Amino acid sequence: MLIPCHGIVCNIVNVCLIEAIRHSIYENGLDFIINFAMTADTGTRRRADDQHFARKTIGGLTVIVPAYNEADHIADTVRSLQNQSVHVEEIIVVDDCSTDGTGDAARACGVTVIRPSRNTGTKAGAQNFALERVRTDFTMALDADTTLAPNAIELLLKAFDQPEVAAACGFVVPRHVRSLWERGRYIEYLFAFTFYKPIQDYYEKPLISSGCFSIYRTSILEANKGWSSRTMAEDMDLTWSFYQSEHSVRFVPDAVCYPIEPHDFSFMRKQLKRWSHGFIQNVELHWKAVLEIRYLRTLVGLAMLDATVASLAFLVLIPLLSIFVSPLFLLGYIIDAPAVLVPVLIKAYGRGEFWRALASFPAFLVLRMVNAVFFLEAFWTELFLRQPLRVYEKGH
Amino acid sequence: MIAGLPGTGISGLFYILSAFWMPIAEIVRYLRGRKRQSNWTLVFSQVALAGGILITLGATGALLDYFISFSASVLGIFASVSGNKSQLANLGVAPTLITIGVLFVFLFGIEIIGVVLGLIRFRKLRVRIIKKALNN
Repeated sequence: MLIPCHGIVCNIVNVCLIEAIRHSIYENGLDFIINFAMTADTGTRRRADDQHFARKTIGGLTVIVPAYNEADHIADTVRSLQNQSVHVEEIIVVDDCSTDGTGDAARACGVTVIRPSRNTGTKAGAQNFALERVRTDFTMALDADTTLAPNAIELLLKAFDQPEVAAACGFVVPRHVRSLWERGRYIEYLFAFTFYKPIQDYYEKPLISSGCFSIYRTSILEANKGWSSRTMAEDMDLTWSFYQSEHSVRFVPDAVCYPIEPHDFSFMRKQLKRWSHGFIQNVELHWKAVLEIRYLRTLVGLAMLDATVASLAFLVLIPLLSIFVSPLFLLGYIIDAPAVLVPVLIKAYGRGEFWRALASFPAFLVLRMVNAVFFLEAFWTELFLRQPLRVYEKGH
Repeated sequence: MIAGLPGTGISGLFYILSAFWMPIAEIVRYLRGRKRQSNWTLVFSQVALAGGILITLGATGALLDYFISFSASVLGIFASVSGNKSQLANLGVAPTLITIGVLFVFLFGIEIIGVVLGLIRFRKLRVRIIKKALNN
């Protein structure tokens, strides 16, 4: 196909042809041209690769646990790491200048504890402090209040079967489901991780590799200079940065983690504020690049549109219509409830938690109203008042 | 819905459509020689969930219709609404149509922007390649 001649014109034409083919392969997904010829016995090769991969990666993982005043939870977290079905090379707890003896509690469990000279101010800062010490192929970030299912790491590592996979995340289920806020979050997670996230993963664009439990390929993580503290949602920032550098992210639904979710409004307020502002900050930071990434641009745009429209509908439109037109418009608050319940109850039934999910559902309706308030506040202060949130307030 | 953000309407519809597209995407990927392992189990489970959601939404609409008509005829409440059939129908149909309309306008718009940005990028790339070749 290339032109066999010399000179500037032919040189330009040949280079253009090569680049055009590469561009067409990348843009149009025509990689089947190459793959078709190369994968004669894909199944056998994949199994062999898996075995090779398993041997190679066991022992190749360092876990970073950023912790600030987590003395009550850190031992559970470390124990769940020590009881994993695969060996973890090193567990590093970053005691971010805690005042409650978190460092001592972690040290008593027999893990490495490091402490910066002063509080780093953000989770990203604490994780980067430990990243400098990581020498393994893979790095895992785990919140100090999050425990894991015994096979979670093993399952998550299997997602790195392709060299372009930069990160993988798992299914999140709140450890305690007692208060209104925990119950609301429980339904949110069951819905999002059962219906939305597998679809995102199928189309190769999970929106976020959750910061509470994710594994990263260290080389790619370091190439991205670790976690950035330029936004309040460092996990979203990192995930979208990976896509921009043409890496991929995976979601593994069978790898389950159990964080402690905010149990009261005080903690929930801090978390929702951080998440809402973080989302808008990331949209503002990455929008140009995201627009060039197929499917991700749709997910991000729709999330932004939906959150704005839903917030205005919940807080303004429905009350006005129900007052001035018909009280039947109040049904707008619950009209989609059965649809949300379908994936939630199916997943909960599989986990033996059907009645818990059903009983928790009203809390979800409350939580999404609160979400709407915080989202509009973030939207207004970030985009119109130009007062970005810069102080990282820990809210579990 | 992303955890922490409200909204299941427009994006919910998009995810339902994405789920229904999965079998077609899976066949296309198979024909192209996939990188990833085949996952028909995931495809069928997400299609089943999307189908279940649609059926539940339809059933909810039908039940509401029945409930409002029953309330009007037996209990006498919502009589003004049920008496006006077009208003009653609008309660369910209009938001659905608006949601579908907004979604398709959005999808069309964002794809156009994506294509334009891709073309700009391709043009810049071409200029860079020509400069590089000229330098060689």
